[in-house]
Formats: sequence, C-alpha cells, structure tokens
Amino acid sequence: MSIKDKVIAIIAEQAVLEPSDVSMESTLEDLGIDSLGLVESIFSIEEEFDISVPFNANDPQASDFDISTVASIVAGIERLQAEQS
Amino acid sequence: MKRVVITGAGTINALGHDVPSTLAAMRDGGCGIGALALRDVERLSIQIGGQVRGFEAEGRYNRQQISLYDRFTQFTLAAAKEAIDQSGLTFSGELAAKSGVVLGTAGGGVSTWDDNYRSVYEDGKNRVHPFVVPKLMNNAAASHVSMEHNLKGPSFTVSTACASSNHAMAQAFTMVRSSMAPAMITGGSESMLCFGGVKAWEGLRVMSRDACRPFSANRNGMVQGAGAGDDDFEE
Repeated sequence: MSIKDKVIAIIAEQAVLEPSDVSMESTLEDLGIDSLGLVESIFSIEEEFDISVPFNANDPQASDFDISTVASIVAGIERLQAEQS
Repeated sequence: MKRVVITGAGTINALGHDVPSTLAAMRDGGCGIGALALRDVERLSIQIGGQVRGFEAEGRYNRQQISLYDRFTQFTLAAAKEAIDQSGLTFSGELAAKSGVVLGTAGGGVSTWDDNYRSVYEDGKNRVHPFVVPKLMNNAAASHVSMEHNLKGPSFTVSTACASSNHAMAQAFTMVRSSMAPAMITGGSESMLCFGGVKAWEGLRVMSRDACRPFSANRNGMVQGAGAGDDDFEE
C-alpha cells in the first residue's frame, strides 16, 4: 500500500466512511472529523509511519504539519519520513 | 427541605447485568466470586474475585466510545441507563440544566493505567493513545453519564476509598434535599481486577485466597469485585 492509500485508509476509518469516499482534496471538516478525531488521526499516522508529527492540539492550524487536506497530509508525511529516517 | 425519593436503580456486577437478575441470584444463594480470568493471573497469589462476566465492550459501544471508556466507565453507563430508564425521566430544558451526576470510585480507570504502563514500560513503546488521560481520570464515568444523558448540573466524582459510592450518594441526596438540584444520578463504579490492580492489593496482605466470609469465625480476608450501581434521586 502506498503512503496515499494508507493515509486514506486511516482517515476513512476515523470518519467511519469507505476509502472510496475520501479524496485527496477532502478536508477533515468535509469528512466530519472533529478535534478528537483529528488528534486520533495524528496518533494513527505516527503509529503507521513511525514518525513524530509536530502537532499541537491547542492550535492545530499553526503546526509545521499541514492538515488542511488529505493531499497536504500525505505530502507532510513524505517530508517527515525523509527527515526522520 | 425536599423529600428525596429513589426513582430508578441500575447495576452490573458479578451476579448479574441488571437489578432483577442480581436480586434473583441473591435469592438463589448464588456466589459471584470465582477464579480470576485475566492476563498474567499466574503471577498473582490472589486468584479469586467477583468479576463481571459476559460483558464485552465490542458490540455494545462503537470504536470511538471504546477508546474513551475504561471498563469502570462502561459499567457505570450500563447501570446509569438502567436507573434512568426506570425513572422515566428525559433530561431536557430546565431539568437538564439543573440535574447532575455525583459518582464514587476508589481507583478510577485502573485497567487503562495498567495497559498503558505495560505498553510503555514493558513493551518499550514511546507513544500512547491520545485518549489515555480522559479515559483513566477518576471523573470519566461521571462525565460520560452527564454527556450521554444531557445532565448539565453539578457533575463530579467523590473518592473515599471503599466508601466512595456511599459518600457520593450522600452528596447527591443533600443536593436534592436542599433544592440545589431537582434530580441527581448517583452511585459508583470500580474495575480494579487487572494484573496491576490485584498485584497492588496483594501488598496490603488483606485479601483471602479462598473465600469471602466476613461473619465467620474462620474469615481470613476480603475478596475484590467489580461493577457499578447507580440510582436516580429526585425531589
């Protein structure tokens, strides 16, 4: 499974949707993922990819990790994997 | 001063999953104490207890609920639901705004502590699930009862070891009697029967290895149980 497929699987599970309902342009809000769902998603991403994501739940938009769309999350993971391996 | 009445009762324990089955088991002279079924029980010198049997989270709660509900919270929600259903109350408007929950617990989310300590100390993991804190905190059960049943009045948790539920109910009673709240859900919950929980208790050296017989001359200690009991107090 590619990074993209794994991220879509994680987000879909969190949103209780089918992976086919999640597109690269989807925002977490579009998918009905609230703040608790977001912090759980970050945890799942860290577990899946064995990376540390710079995310502060007090100010989600301000972290180094861009959570605005599924595509930006995938790009962020690719960057962190390269930096942290 | 208001007169306080109990309009609902609920329970889940080693004898049954609700009040009628519990009472029936008591009438039948049943004993809920048996061999402990838990991880690493072979390393325990105390191997008996009153565990709740046949209560599985999967199928009863969804994934997000399970990630937020320690077993002590799960027991509470089951008992609270039975009590509230029996009372016939629906919490909305003014009633919701003023009614609350005071529950008792000695240990709170012990299994959550145990599982996550094991993960971090034994398995060497460096991150735990984000909901570990809300899951293990002593007020988790009261919080989830208030959220589930729309109780926006005073909601908190009392802790006085084995007398916790008793004191919680006294608090709730006083609140209804003094008109501080028209209705209160009260009672308590405990789920300490996991490896770490029992191992900690072994240190006190007060537990019996064979049976609970407090009124017998040959009594030799206490036996632990788990479960929840909740009542609905109303004016």
